Amino acid sequence: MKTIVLSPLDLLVASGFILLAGGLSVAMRLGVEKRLLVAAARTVIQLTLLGFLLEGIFKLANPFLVLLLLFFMTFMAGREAAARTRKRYLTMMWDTTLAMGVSAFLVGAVVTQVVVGVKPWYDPQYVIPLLGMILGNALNGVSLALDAFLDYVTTRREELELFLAYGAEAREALASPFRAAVRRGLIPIINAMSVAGVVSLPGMMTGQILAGAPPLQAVAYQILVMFMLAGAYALGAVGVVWLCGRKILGRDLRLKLEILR
Amino acid sequence: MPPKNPLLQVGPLTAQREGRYLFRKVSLLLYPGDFIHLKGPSGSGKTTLLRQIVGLEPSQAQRFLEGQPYPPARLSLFRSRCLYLAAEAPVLEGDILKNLRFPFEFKANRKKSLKNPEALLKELGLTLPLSTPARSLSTGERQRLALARALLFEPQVILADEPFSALDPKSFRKAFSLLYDFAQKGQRAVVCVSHHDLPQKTKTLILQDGTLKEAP
Repeated sequence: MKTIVLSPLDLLVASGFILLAGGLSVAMRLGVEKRLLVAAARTVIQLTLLGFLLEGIFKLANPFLVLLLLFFMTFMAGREAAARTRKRYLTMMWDTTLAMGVSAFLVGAVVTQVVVGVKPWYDPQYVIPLLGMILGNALNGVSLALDAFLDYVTTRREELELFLAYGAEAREALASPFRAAVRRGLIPIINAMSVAGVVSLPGMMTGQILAGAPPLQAVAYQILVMFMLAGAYALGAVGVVWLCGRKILGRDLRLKLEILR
Repeated sequence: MPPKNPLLQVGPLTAQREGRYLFRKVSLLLYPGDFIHLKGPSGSGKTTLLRQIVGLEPSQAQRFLEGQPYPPARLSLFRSRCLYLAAEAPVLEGDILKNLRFPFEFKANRKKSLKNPEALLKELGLTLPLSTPARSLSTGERQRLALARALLFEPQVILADEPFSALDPKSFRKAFSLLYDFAQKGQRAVVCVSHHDLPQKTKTLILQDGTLKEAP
């Protein structure tokens, strides 16, 4: 395996691109140079911290530490998913976190323990990046599905109340919004799988090839990742609309749109 | 005259809006054959009252139909017998037939079936084919479709919120008489919110200043 190691000097050269973009912004009066610099600085700081954290965790290889980090990542993903929808309700963050956690841990467990067969089970080199990838994608599915669901129930309130007035149970009244929301949540992964390798070279595969892995091995990993992500998208989307549906239309069979802000 | 058993008893109903009571501890009692004209100034809470009866708005109300209690766990069954007909006359995407048929697909209504919709639609002056997309109907046509849906559903009680607001005089008389006749058949009753003067003399309840009173 041949890998070219990046030195700090290489990154310094790369930061020339940021200066170039910033210079363009100044010259063309786009007014984004400050935000660009802040974002670039955040990238450097956040990723460096993560690098140190990962080095530390890889070295310690302590299962509790690994789990702690996984929970923290799940929580952050849940928060982020809740911040992305246009409408909110008070306990929405718990629903997104729970949906994300269940979906990521279920899919993650199958992939790391059954498919890849990581030994020991918590080997951070595999468990953390894989779960990170699952969470980052489930986040997308969860927030899109939730947004579509809340949009449906608010814009089509009359239709849902018509169903309820005619004796529909929660499951019957919410069947169409569930379907619309989950379909919406799955679009990104379906698109990604459709164009994988034709229009886009998936990031993980590119990374593995750059790191010197044989292309076919990288492809195998990428296929695994795509399928795993599809599972995470689906579970996350279904989970979050189910949890949200229970809040919006509880056992009292009343559409509670007043909880939305 | 032998005392009749009440058909529907719902109460107490209380509603607040912005810290002020719209109505307080109101209850509704219907007897078989009742056709009640519910009146009241705009904003007095007529719609809220009807929606509370069927549980689309929150309330602490107890519901009894023919003496049987309907606790919250049996709400869908209650709604299948006591139907709220919304003022907006919502229609679903799809054709007229779909709009008439969907309620029968719900579990609570599996013992019911859609009977002869064409005849009733024709009586209401809707002679369009059943395959007509419902979204293409005018406001008045939608209102008649919504009324036809309610009548064909054959509940025991219809709580109709402004069912005639968009109808021309001829359709109004026809729609009214169908709804009025509905209440006369067996164990049935109708509550009808309307700003129109109704062609028949009916029992009239007025919701005003937070109470429900029978008009003299």
